[in-house]
Amino acid sequence: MSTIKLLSSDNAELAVDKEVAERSILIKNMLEDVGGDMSDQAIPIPNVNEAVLRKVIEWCEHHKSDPPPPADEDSDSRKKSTDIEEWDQKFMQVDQEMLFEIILAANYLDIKPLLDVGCKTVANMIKGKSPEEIRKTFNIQNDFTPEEEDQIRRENEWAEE
Amino acid sequence: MQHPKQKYLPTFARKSKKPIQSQSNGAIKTSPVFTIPELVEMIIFELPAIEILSTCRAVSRTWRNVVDNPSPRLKSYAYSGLRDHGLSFCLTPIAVQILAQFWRKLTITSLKYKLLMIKSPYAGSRSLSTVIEEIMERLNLRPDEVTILDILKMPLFLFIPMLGMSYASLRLGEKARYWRNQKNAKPKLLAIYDQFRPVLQKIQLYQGQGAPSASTVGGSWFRGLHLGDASEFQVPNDTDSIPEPLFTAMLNLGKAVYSLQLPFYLSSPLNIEVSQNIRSLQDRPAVTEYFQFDFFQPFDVSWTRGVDWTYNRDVVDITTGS
Repeated sequence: MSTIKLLSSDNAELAVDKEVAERSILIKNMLEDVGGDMSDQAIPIPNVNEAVLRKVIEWCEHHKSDPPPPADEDSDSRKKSTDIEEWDQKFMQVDQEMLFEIILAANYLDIKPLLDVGCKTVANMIKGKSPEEIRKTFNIQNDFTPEEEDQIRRENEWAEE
Repeated sequence: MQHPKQKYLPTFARKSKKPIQSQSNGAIKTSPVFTIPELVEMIIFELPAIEILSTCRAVSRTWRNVVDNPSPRLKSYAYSGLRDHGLSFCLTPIAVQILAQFWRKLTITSLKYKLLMIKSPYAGSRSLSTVIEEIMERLNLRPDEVTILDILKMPLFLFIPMLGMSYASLRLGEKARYWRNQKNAKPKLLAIYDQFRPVLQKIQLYQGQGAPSASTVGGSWFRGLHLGDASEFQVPNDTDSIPEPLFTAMLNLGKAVYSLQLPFYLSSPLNIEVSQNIRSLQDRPAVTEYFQFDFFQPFDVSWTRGVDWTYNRDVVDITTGS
């Protein structure tokens, strides 16, 4: 089995099986573009630091044998948030900052299943919370003007008890 | 320096100890996860649709824009109140949730104003009180507005039977209370309609199609809603049925609202028609279309749209499987 090297944003070189690395569509396409031979040269991953890259590789190794996701997923047939596999749930038990970094890395590296798991994890943290609680939980800036906020409050009155 | 409130937050909710890149106005930095619209959409897509349409819109501008300008995928998930099954339409869970909330609010308000205890004057045989009521209406009087002078001004053929109906005072008392309650409840009920109109428009259950007719005013119009339990027309269980708990919740609320006299005109058992009284109560434009939701047991729901219900009894039904 061939091995390739990935270079994180903080210049750490990580060796990883090609099959594992190809869970990332970005890396897979890059390897295809260069003819698959990157044994002597590390692939730079400038947006992902070592700690996050290690976590992503850990996920890819665990899921290396998963079948590829269907190309055109119907919204009604998609599994919803409650359906996160047990291993993935444990994998995502990290601090909030790492969770966001994993989501951003999965988005950058184009690893759709990992991105889904990350988004489902965040969605589970959001479920049932008020807008104010969501903002507080995730440090989201409230950028509405008082007038806009008042308008949204009026528009959302139907949902209030 | 750590904000004093931070220590009360759970670990995961506390700010990172890393230096925060302050924005020009000194506000806290939001993770890109919550500012990249594509990622926000992926996250909120995992939430119940009702939270997307309400809570998520109120978080930040980015979130509101994602919800208000949905991608086709999000639109299909959170904005479709009806699902086309070829021969029939079914209410989606989001439609059921919103309508259930709608009926629930109407019910609570109506209970508060004791409007649930009055039976429809159109149901059953005409009672003496109904006859009196009709006379009053013909004279353009309301029971709580009747005075001795009014009665003395009545024509003799009406005056005598009125005097003969001495027990009517009891009825008048009951009716008078009802009319007062109705008068007080009216603005509250109309406010509920106003609350729900935009969201019902969003999920396409309450939306004008084409140009408003000549009978509408100011380009705005109200489509009626027809809710019923058509239990007489049982159909086999359908795999596309809505979940039983949602159905039961909505049906119970529908039944409770059924006993409302206003603003509903009750046409037949377990059917609710909003359209006509909306018109008379709100002084709103005439209804040119109505929706009818039929509940087939066990849990199938079908949808019918008719036009010109108010003025033309030859209802054009775009019937859907019923």
